[in-house]
Amino acid sequence: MNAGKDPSMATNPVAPPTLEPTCFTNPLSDRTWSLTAADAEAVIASWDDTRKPSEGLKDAYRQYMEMVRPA
Amino acid sequence: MTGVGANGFYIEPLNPAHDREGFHCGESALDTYLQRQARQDISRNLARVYVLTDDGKTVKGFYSLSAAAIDPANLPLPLARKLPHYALPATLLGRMAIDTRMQGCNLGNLILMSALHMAWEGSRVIGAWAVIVDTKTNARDFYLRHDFQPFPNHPDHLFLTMAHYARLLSGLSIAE
Repeated sequence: MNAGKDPSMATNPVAPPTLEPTCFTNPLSDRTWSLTAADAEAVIASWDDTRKPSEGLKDAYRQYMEMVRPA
Repeated sequence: MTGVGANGFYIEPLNPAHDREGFHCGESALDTYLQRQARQDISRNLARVYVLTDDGKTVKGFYSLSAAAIDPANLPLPLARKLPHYALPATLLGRMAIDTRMQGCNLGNLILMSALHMAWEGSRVIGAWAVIVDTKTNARDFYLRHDFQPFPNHPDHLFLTMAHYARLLSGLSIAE
């Protein structure tokens, strides 16, 4: 019996806020990079990519201009 | 190149006045890079290292950029024909970290955008297809939110093309 246990509480209903990481790169990221076939397809596709920049990227750029670069 | 903004932050090349020993990001390898290796890499022209600071001494964050080449070898011929016959030029965002005391201040946005802008400026002089980064897994979503795309066979290897960054600037009427 699970008396008193609400199954909906099996997972945390309110996830803790995700903190921005402090380390953004693999510390040993200077290794040689090579392309597999699937990677190469992604590179080729990027040449015809016309996606518009996301709002996330735009917001970050505006924040950068406001906080770091002079108006 | 980068001026003082509204909050007093500015980004400048790493120099001897910066307190490298006082920087801690929670990853000893990245701390050690800044403290022991970064200046050597600069003097050997292997990397350029930039620091986010508000007083010219305290390092709030840093990043490094290097020229990189992606080897297109061993690809099936039909694919190889669509790629240049030489290594694909790119700019490597090799190291990027912020001080743990600044966590939650969104400084990651600032140094990433500075790195992208610096890489874009460089790409106007020396061609580079994209900025590439080997991300820590817990930072992967951060880059994806900023339009980076993964290499399909290397999920922690991400890229953002210079063409995409140029579209950002032209959309904001910033590009020349």
